[in-house]
Amino acid sequence: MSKVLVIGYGNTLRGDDAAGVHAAGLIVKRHPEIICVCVHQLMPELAEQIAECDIVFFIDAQKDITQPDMRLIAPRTEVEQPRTHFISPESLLHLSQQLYQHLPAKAYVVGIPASQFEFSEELSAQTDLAMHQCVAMVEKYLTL
Amino acid sequence: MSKTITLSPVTRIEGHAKITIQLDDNNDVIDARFHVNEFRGFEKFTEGRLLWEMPGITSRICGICPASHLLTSAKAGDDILAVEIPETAEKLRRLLTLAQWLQSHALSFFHLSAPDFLLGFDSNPATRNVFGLIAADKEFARRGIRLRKFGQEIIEILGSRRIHTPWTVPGGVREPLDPAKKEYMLGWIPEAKETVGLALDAVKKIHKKFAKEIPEFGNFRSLLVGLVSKDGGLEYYDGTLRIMDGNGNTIADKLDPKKYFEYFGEAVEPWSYLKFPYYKPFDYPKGMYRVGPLARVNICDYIETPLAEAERKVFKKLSGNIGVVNNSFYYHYARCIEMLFAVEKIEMLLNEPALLGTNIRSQASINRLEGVGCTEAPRGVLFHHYHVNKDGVIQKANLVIATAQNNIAMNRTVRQIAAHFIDGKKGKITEGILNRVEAGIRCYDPCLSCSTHALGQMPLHVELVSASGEVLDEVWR
Repeated sequence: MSKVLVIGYGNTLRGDDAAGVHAAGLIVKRHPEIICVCVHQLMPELAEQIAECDIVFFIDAQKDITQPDMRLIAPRTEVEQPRTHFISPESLLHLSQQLYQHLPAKAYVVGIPASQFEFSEELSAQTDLAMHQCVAMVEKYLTL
Repeated sequence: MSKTITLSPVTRIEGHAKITIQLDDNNDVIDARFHVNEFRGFEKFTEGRLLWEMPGITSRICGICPASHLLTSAKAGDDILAVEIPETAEKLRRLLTLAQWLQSHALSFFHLSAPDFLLGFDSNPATRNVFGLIAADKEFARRGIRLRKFGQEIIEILGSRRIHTPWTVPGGVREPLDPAKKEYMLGWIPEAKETVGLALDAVKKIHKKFAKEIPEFGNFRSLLVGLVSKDGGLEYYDGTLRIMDGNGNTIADKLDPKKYFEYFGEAVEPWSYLKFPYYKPFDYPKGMYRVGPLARVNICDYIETPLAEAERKVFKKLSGNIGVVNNSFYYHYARCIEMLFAVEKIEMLLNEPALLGTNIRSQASINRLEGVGCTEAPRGVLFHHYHVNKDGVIQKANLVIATAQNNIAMNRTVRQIAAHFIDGKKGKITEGILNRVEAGIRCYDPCLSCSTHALGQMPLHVELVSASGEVLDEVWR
């Protein structure tokens, strides 16, 4: 059985930014066999956990998309300037490969369209709907 | 006609900043300023909030050292409730403080500064980062990341999440430690000790490699301020303030941190949002002082853990005859010594039966209308000072942050490095110079998010400005 890791990230005090965290929480509730990590931002420390998995989903709120989106990603070979507060999913894969010589067989970024980032612990209606659609996309993949 | 060089934004520190370097008519560096151009204003918008909310709110100041704000805020709350917290709660808070030191210092040394040291100041900036470090020394980088993870895991175990955990509260802590988690944490200790040992070996090689450059990296006499324990040992959670001068003389000792405002003033400059705290008896700016690892390891009489104490004695030999290490470059060495202390002390605390007690919170209502909390955050001594009404509603808050306390010294460091390395006649800022100036600031591991209570990443902007105000060169990254 494949070892699946779901990473939901975002700020739970910034409205729609928390969509990834909410989605990961829902997925793990329905599929307790899945490893779920909820964080504010992606950090280099996650590389080890990623390297130990077969499939990884990075679920995040995105303001530059209008539809739920799931895309396959590869390690970023051209290296970005890493920041202490954030590292991209592609760079994290690169880090896993470099440090632990292992990559998940597949890695996906699941984008949830988001628009409201003011102080709030609730998702906007549109993002809430999109979040559930994204959860369904991931679940569909898991049942294939 | 004088000229100014500006570096903006500064990279691999926490927050946004700009550096301007002013040249005189002869194109010599006459001044350099480290501008902090962020503002968020926690002190103002916390007015009207309840005391019990303050740890949770102020921990949001920073994503790197939220636990320090959490602890210091809770201690200010203890003062207002006028309670002595249970023994278990104090030990748990101490454990949290050390975990915070460990993860923050590991970030500073392995992620932010090691690329300069292992790859060189003049190496390609595109690869002078944690990825370049991996390419150069995979095992070293991997261990650094894991060491930070250890600190973060302790924080997560205690507070149920890595950052912004609401676990510490006025009167104690919310939850006791799960005994099963104790063994897990102890299991990390051998690897953590080994990794810190590697860091210390690396630091000593760095001292040799950069022997010619080190004398220009913030090498000046200043006051050093920090907490020490009752008998003068290295302190991180409680204790009293000690002030040492640049000649190694203790000029003030056993000062009550709750009266910090009697000893330290806060100056402001129109060109920076970061305040300039100073030692009042010496006035501003002569009352410049440094806090953080360099100060702490200098001012203490001993460190209670054996390996760190042995390393402290080696550190002190760098001071020559005066008994105090004044060069800011040695912040890195002091930081590594503190990492060693943190690992050793975490092991000691985990083996104390009282850590697993269940009496963890003293309950009380508002008994004082004013309270001060003080701890040693990774970057130095941190004060939270609150005034409340009889219902515990905040009327006024003052936060004195470590990075701000190093502000005068950071400016002095930038000026020293700029004066040594910049050739104003060329009117250009080379990559190597840019990085050296940044590296001077990184010695202090400044957290501008904390010190201005602002949100941030840390890009760099540098300007070279002539005496007439003309920008001769400008670098952004």
